[in-house]
Amino acid sequence: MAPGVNGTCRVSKTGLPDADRRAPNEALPANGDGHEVAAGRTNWAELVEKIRKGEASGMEELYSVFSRGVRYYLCRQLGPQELEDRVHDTFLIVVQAIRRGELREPDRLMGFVRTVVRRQVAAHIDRAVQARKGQAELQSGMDVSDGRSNPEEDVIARQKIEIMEKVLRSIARRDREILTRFYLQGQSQEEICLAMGLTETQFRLLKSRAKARFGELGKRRLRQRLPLIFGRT
Amino acid sequence: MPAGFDWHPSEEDLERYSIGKLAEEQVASLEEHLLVCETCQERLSEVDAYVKAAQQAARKLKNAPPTFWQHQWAKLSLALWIPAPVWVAALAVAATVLVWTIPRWVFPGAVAPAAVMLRSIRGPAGLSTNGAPAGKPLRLHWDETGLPAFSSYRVEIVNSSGRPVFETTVEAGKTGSSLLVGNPLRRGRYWVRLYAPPPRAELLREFGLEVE
Repeated sequence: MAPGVNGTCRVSKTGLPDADRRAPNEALPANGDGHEVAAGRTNWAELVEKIRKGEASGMEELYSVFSRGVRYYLCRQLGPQELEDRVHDTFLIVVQAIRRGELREPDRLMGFVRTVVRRQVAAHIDRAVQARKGQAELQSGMDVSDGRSNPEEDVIARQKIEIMEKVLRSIARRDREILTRFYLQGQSQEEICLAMGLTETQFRLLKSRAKARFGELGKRRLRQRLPLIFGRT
Repeated sequence: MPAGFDWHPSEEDLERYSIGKLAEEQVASLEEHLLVCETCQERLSEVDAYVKAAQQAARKLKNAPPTFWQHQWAKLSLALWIPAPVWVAALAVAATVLVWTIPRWVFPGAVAPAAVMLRSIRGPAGLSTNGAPAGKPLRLHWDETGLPAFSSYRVEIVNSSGRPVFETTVEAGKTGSSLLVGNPLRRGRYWVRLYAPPPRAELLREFGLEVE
């Protein structure tokens, strides 16, 4: 399943439990029960057992570990529409599956959650395709995500395109062709290197230079605009 | 690509994933990592934005490649990235300087010269100096009373080091002579010397000139 990009997928930090605002290797703070859980050292077997027994702490822990990532994945694939419902459905499916004993290897909980999320995405896409094929009007609740974000994000996206256009205009025609083959035409690095007579190092250098210019231009533009917006000197 | 919390994917892996070119066997472990790593979620969001911008820009330029001059301008503006208002201000200042400076050098007559009456008076402190403004053409006048009657005089202006900075020949006038020094003199002390015409060429009179 090719990943897509739909609207913003930066999950807001507000409203999330503190446990979600951590670096991957950073230990989680102790929760109200004094039970310390480390993100990188979660005892999956213990967690699965708690969920199987119906313990609230197990559900809370499951949510705290996975909610942000599930929300991010679903938003990235399907857009922000009905996101909370989909996240809720995902957790419901995972919990029900664990209670039915369908998760045979508790240590593979991450992979199991991923599978459930991917099936959610696939099911939604199937429904949307079927709806487009057979029906004159879309039924309510089956709206197809148009992938568009809010106006502010549209402006930001347009600015990024302008910056990238400037970068592509400034480089040699051959370099531009290489980047076009990679980003637009979907050719692999190996195919491009073979066709254009490049080494892997040259290819990587070209890409990283373009990305560096893009980043630098973006920063400069942001520095120009911030004093105007906020009245700072 | 190992799975687990201690591993973060490289930028290249994220880019390949964003484009849909990551090897199938690596996709699972990357996605599992993304489920639990906020940092890599944000990194992937930035990569997605970059890839999308690159695709849109490449599509546009594929249909309408830049001309030679568009390419040169893009290179130049990238190299000298200066905000537009600064460019406008700089050009305005440059235009003002050019408008103010060029007429003085190319068309000296365009700026009205300052009139200076040269008097040669020796006092206890030596030859007195006549004042003149710097940065303007000068119209130097002097009285020929007491000067030998010549039809013309050679005039030389030397600076305080004795180096000639101006030289010309002026016609003698019935009511006094004058000459136009078109190129403005810098601040400093000068000597304006009147010489008899060749072959005599003797110094007839000298005036001190203080340009300030």
